[in-house]
Amino acid sequence: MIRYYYYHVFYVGMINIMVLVPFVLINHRFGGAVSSFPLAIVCGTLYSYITSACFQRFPGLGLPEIYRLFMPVWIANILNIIGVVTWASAGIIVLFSYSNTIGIFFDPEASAYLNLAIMALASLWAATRSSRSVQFTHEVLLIVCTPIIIWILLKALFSPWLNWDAIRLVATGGIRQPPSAICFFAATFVFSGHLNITLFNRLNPRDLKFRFRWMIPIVGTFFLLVSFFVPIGLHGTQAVGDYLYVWSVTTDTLMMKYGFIQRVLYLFLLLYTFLSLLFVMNTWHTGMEFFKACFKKYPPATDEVNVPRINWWICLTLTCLTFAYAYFTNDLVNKLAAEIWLVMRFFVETALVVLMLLFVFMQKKGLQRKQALQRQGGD
Amino acid sequence: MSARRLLSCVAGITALVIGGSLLGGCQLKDIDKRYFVVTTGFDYSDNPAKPYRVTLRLALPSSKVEEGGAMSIVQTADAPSIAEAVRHLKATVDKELEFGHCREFIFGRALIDKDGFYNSMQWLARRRDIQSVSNLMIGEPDALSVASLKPKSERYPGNSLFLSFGNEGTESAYTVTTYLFDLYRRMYETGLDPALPIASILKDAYQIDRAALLDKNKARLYLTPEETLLFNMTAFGTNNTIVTLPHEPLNVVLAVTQTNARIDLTKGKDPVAILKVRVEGFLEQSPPHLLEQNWDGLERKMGKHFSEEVEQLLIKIRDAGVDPYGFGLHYLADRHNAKGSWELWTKQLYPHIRFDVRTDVSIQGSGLIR
Amino acid sequence: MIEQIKEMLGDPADLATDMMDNGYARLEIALFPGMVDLFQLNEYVLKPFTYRFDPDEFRRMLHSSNSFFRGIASDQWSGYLLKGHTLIAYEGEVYVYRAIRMLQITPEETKVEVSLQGPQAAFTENLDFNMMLVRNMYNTPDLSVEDFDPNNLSKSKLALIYDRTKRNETTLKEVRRRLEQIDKGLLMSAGQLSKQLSHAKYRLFPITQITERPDRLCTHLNKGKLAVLLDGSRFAVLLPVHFFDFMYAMDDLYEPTFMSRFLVGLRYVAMLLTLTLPALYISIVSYNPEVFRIQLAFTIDGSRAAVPYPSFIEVLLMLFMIEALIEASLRLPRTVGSTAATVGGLILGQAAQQAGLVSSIMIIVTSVVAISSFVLPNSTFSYFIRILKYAFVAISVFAGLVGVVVALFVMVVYLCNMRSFGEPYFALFQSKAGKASGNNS
Repeated sequence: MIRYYYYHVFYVGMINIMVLVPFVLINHRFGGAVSSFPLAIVCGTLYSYITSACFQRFPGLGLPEIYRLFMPVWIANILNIIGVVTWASAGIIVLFSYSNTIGIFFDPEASAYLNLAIMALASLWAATRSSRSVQFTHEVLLIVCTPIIIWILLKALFSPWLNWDAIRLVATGGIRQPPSAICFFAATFVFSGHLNITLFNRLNPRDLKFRFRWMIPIVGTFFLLVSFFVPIGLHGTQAVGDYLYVWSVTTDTLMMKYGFIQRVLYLFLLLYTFLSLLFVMNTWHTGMEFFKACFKKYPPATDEVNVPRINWWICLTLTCLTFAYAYFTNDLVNKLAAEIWLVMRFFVETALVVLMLLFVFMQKKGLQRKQALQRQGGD
Repeated sequence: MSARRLLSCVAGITALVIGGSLLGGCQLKDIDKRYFVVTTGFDYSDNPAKPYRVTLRLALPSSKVEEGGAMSIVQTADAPSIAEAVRHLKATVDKELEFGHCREFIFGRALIDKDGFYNSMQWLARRRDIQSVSNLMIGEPDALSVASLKPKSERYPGNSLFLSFGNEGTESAYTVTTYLFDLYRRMYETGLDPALPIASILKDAYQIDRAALLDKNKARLYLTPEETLLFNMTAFGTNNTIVTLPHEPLNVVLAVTQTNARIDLTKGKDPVAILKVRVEGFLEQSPPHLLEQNWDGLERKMGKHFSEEVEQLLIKIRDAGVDPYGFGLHYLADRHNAKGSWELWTKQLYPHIRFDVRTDVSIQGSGLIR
Repeated sequence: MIEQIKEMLGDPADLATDMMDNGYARLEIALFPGMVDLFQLNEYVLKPFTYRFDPDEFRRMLHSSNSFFRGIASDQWSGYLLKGHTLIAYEGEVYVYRAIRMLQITPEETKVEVSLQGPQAAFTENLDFNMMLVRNMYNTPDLSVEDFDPNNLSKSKLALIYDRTKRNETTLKEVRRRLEQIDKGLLMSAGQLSKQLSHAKYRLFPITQITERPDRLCTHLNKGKLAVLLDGSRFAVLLPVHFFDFMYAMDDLYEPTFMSRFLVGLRYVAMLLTLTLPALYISIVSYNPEVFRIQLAFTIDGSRAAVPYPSFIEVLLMLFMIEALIEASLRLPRTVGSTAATVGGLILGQAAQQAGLVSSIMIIVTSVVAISSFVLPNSTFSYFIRILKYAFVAISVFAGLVGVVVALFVMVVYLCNMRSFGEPYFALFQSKAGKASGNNS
């Protein structure tokens, strides 16, 4: 089932556009953006390797179950809640940015809440499904979308209007700057697909081997470089800073001469509707499961036919939060929120890596909690 | 259980109907309630209170698509700004204006000369429904007259002008194609300046065989058709052009199928701008048996002639103070965007730069069938 | 005995009863002549009893032959009679003699799932004969059959068939459980059976497949799945199924690989078209005319110029017409059916467009939708798709193109969330996914 792991790696690489990673990076294009790339690549790859290696030692266990193995309940619950906040807020930010993008490019006159409403309802329903269903959905849509998205990226990369001098200017100029922290945090996002293993490890079988891990740096680097440099090549070093939804504008410079849809922009937006919904589904689902893990009443289940009612309540709460967020924010605040989230995510990721290393160490020393051991034995 | 189910069912349907009628309905705007704008023109009226004159050519759709069957109307309004003019125009038509399919935007020559394109671009770049791949051009004598021309050959409104650009329809070597995003990029870019094609009217057709080179706002240099051809080849690598060599009794004309142009700068304190051009093609016109005599020599002669012409053009462009080739950008990239290099380039280097055009002509065949 | 039976059945006119006396012994007999194989009865009961009578031999035959059952409780007599058995009372004991008239001696022609070059035999309405067809085609000792006699009004026998070595134990248990729970009432067709097995009444996609082809059933068994045959129905129920199973015609196995791959692709495209085309039309006309190429926008605009109402009314009108047309030509006798198609398709469509009631593009959309829905090889599945497209139409009215895409997403989630008897319904790379679920549960 190793392929499910790489689906996450792939789509997080592609979704970076929607959490405004290119925007943050491009804002610092003359600052330390480029020089933070090598650091981010090394750091992201390292984190991926460590987490996958650590989780391999706990087959079939999600992060909350591992907490329970080694920690008192109250610490585990605090950590779970941190997970809920991290994941759920990511979903909310993406949902808001994407419904805004859709509103701008499809229906400038329409009510902003309509698009948000239908997308929120769709993700609400999708997120309440069982983990296995979520995983299947993920696979199907990703297999449909990825080739077309990569085709669009390559089409942009090989566009005759791409100005390599501009890219060269930013690349060679930027690499000489000291790396900037915010860019480093933003760039590592591209590699954080491995984070989703925290929940979906529940579905991993005992004999899982993490093969093809060399793909992670390649895939991540590709998406990172393309999503940063191609807009610069197409919009120039100066004008590119004027755009918030920079990739939407970038795909608009492409044309399909013979297609039914001539503007690549629309194809791109339609595909990213799928991807954004997938992202929201995944994040909310993960947040929901983490939240449920705080209560003994809800043991981890991955394939229930009738989902418990609490699923609906949690996701409904998230939907309401999204509306509240949409009501109180605008693009500017959202931009700030996305930046804060990117930073927070990096620290959560670091903490996770440290914790996992600690857990593996404790496991080797046999420092598991007694109750947990008993429960495991009883299974 | 069943009563609860019934209740939830009724509640669901009610919510759906109410929600639906609140959210939808009001936005539904059928295609026949919209006017498709196919060409937009911006002119400079001489009224200082309302300097902008916006011209819209609106398509009147007909169910039959045939040559000369295209129907359209032209509307004009003057206003202090473009946005206001468009709002005002809405009051003169009975349907919603739709810019999504408008891919021709014409700046009147007077506008470019007096006001520049900067203000107009602010409106264009903000309208998200306008395609980034719209064609921009300068209308001569003004945008209104170009926008109101209705060529007889059009199958649907606006098609004729649209097909003139890019490689959609005709692939004319004299037509410079500038897209909206390209103009926007060149408007802000350091060391890369915009160029716009000039469209005028000749009888019942558009004539787009000249180009204007602009600084960040206004036109600095108008090129002749011959210069436009050279510029198009060397700056954009346009294919399907010609290279000529004056010769007695008949000029030698090379029909170019493949053009490659690259710019480069020599290193050092006093760089020389290098333009490498490679053209491939076959002879379309030549005195008989010329090729058999000296193939290599002919290629070299043509290359040399071409290089000289291009160098003249480059010097002319340099003296006009614009840089549509992007030498400046290339210089900055070479200098890794170091501090002060941009000032050095604009103040000292570019105004006196020397050019070295290296043309490599490759004749693929004599063009003779027999 | 005769009196008892008459009392139980209310003395129907088609019940034949007789008391025979050959001078040595007496024999009571009761049967429905229409359901009994009279030749066999004559040969094995009446002849030995009458003119070749030997009391010892006759008794021995009654006791030892496997066509005669003894010791049947009296309250079950009527049940056997109604199924076509003969009741015989001899020397104070009641025997049930099994000589049921076989109406069916040749397989049916395939009618619903026509194949060009595949086997032309289809199931019949006789369970035993159907079992013969299956056994002939799936000729291994691993083929297991379990009989179920549901306690309902029609009492038709059910046979659960599977390959012993390949079946999935959890699925089998689940199906057995559901077969035992079949409710009382009439069970007349495989479609009804599949509905009852599926449990949930409001489902957007079928989780069982109904087929008339023995070869489809056998390939299904070979994949380790189950099938249920119902006596009196010429269709079998296959389960569990996956979404992808509905996209295969049996011909795909028999035709050249490239062609069948192409056809499968065609079916997916057709399914998407049927689902989304009316919704896309509404979105383009009413929300985003700028999305598609300019020529298309102008053509639609031109052809809609005379249409007096909004796009979704137009779509609903035409969809209603085409659904009515399909339904009419399905139920009408074959000879009149083609007239309906001509009137509806040609005359009405042309006239409606010329009168300006609908745009010509809409006529094309409608016909593409109809044709595409016919491309789907399974009629049940095609029904589900046909009804589902209205959901897409509804959302496109409110939310345009974005709504359609979101609806597609919801549909995929729905499909992925479905389980057909415990197996994932819409998961790619199926066999491996099945293994994973086995490991976890």
